[in-house]
Amino acid sequence: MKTIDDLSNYLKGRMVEIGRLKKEGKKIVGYIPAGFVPEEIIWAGGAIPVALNRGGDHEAVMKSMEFMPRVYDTYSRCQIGYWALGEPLYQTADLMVVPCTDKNIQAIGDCWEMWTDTRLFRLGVPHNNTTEHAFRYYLEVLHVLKGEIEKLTGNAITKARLREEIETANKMRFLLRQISETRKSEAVPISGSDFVRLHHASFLADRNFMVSYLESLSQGLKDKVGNKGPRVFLIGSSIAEGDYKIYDLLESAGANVVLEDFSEGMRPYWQQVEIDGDSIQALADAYFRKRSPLPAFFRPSGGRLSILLKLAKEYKVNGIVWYTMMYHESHEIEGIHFGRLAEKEGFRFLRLTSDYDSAEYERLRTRIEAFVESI
Amino acid sequence: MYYDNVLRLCGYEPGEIEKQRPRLEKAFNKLGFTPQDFQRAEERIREYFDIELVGIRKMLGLWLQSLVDVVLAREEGKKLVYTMMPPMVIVQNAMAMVSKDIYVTAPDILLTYTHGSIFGNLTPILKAAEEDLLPLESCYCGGIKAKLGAVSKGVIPMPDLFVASGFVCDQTPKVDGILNERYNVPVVYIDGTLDEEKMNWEKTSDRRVEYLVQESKDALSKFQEVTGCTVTDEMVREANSRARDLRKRCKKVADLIRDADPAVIGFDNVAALFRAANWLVNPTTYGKTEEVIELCYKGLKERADRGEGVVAKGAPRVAVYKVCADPIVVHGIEKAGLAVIADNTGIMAPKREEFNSQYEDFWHQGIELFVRMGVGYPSRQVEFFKDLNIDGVIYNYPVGCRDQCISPVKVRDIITRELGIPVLLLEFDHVETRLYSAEAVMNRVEPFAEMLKEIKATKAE
Repeated sequence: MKTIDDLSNYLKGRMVEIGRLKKEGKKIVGYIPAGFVPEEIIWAGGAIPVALNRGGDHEAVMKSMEFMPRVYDTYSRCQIGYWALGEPLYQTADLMVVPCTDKNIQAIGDCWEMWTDTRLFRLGVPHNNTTEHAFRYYLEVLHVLKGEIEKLTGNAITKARLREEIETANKMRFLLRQISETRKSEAVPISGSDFVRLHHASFLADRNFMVSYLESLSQGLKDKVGNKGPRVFLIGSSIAEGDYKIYDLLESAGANVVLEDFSEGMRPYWQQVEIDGDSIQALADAYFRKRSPLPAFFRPSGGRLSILLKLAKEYKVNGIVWYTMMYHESHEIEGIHFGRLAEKEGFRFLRLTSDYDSAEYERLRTRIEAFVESI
Repeated sequence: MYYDNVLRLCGYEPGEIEKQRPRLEKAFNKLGFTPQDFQRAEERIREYFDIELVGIRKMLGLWLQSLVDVVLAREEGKKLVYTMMPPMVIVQNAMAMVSKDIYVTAPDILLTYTHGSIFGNLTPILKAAEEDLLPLESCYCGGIKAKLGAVSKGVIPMPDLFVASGFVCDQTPKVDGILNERYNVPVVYIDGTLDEEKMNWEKTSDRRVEYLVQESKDALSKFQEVTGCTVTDEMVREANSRARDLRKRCKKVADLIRDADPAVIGFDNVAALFRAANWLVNPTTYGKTEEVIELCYKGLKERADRGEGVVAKGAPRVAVYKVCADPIVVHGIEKAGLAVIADNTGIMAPKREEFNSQYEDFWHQGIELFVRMGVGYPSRQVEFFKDLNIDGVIYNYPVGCRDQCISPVKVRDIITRELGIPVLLLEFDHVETRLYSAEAVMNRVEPFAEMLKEIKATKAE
């Protein structure tokens, strides 16, 4: 079975490989992984999608304040901070795609436009997926994105290429779901922190490598003896690559994260994209209309919260941890409201906020240990 | 009665007070206002508002009357609709004018001026919201806190419909959705998409406008379903023609202020006047708002003709970004010897007023208004400031509004580079006075004022 270490070793060389491919003329498309930018379109156009999803680093948060006020959420500020610090990954894109989901992610696009020379594509995402005009909007935006990628690379995105990429991405989604669902068992064969690292790796890795890696991992998990322990559902606004302290603290306190739901930093893996028919329409359908659970910025959110509670029951969790980036308003407000609903349903609930500051570590540790002890 | 003095300071005539007394008393009782509240209001009005001008007194009266109207709306048999700042103007105006049996208001701005500016007792309402869903440390919009706190505490009645400004804000839709779950009050979201190009604020795609138009039409359908009143296209046109007329009247006042030296009035008064004209749009204010603006213009014109002002002639001229609930900051700026001649209500004025179609109207009064106002529009702000012939900008951006505080650093960057004038960036809030320290603000404003005076004196030599 392939291990997480194997993946880490691959990723160490991936950035160099991307640099080399760029020199050879490949176009790099940076994007914010909020689940609304179908990578399939980028791959099909012959470009390389690279998600900008770093976090957990207060230096980047502080640096961002030269460009934007402090009241945008930590994750968004961090993305600007990394660009300002000159992080190579953040300088490499030929085109930056920002899905304008909420005011925080929109702020990344705003700052990108105001302060960098990189071409920016704002991908508009309506805030409800039940009306026909909202679906039409997202569908049209995907067509525009397709045109942008074609313009960038000079390659026509053919039906066949798009379909091929959808098939590959479907395999990845299927495998991620299969791996995630192993955590339904009483003894959990993969830790939450490893599972989220798979997502983060998939944002940088070549998709064919990733599929093959996930296949091997998934096979190996079948024979693996899992860990038992208190079961936690982790819900939050963003989970950035590098921001693993919440997992580390929960796991070192003896808990198993058996499910998570984040708006940014995870690949949507619940829905498959239809292979037959119009591929762009199928992408819009899966990424938008059939999306479940919906992110917190969708309105109204009652349906989303019911689904989260249903999942909590299905995965037999003992407690729910709501992990929000500071100033992420949709999530903060919803977290307070959801906590009351969850407690009524008999779940222990803990709401935590982070600004990626190391000063918060001990405070989080104390609260998490007490929480895990209580469940 | 203990409240008569305040009413008189708010432009109520003695006969009007007697005629209105039963309504006023009922409303004040419901609001829980005490003699101490009115005493505080009297002191604040005398200190912060230019009550020498009858127009300003009557403008305060408009705010007070609107509060009374809202508080009594339900028991007077009216349907009540709450929008939220910033509303989709074209929709709010149409809803407001459709029937005298419907009262439409944005309670956040109303409470900001009444409980905030006039009575100085907004904090207990804000605290109620903080204990519920919107903690102070998270820097939420004070307006949303005011609305949530006020409906939760019963300060204002629960409406028949919430209209959430989802096209420009994430906080309102979230809170309105939760209120809907709690109290079963219908909510309609006017959504928009956030993919505008900030640096190219005058342009947008047809799909964005079409999306917003459809959302607005859906909101009007929901309004019709809840109230039983139909909003026709003609009503939309008529309501907006009045709004346009009010803006033109305000523009006349703004031009007078811009051209006067010395500055003829403290800008708090002007901001309260412009906001009353923009947002108190119900049939109960028909005719009155127009009269108030004209009275203000007349009074200010006379002052300007006499060469009188509120700061010294030749004082450095500044634009501030935001003026609202807490008059202490803008007063402080003026006390420091600066003439405040504009705020973002000026930026909000459309570049043109006549449109060829309702579609254009939606664009200009819907999307463009908010692009101009704060959705991230450095170039528009610079363009606006350029026309004012100012010596500096105090850019006090409101931290509670994620919409309005994305671009201050860029605005400073461009203004400094293109206009060559100093910019003071201040973290501020237009509603929640506990999000900043007025003293700390003044500690930065006073040296800035001295610097501007120095620069101006040097230029004069």
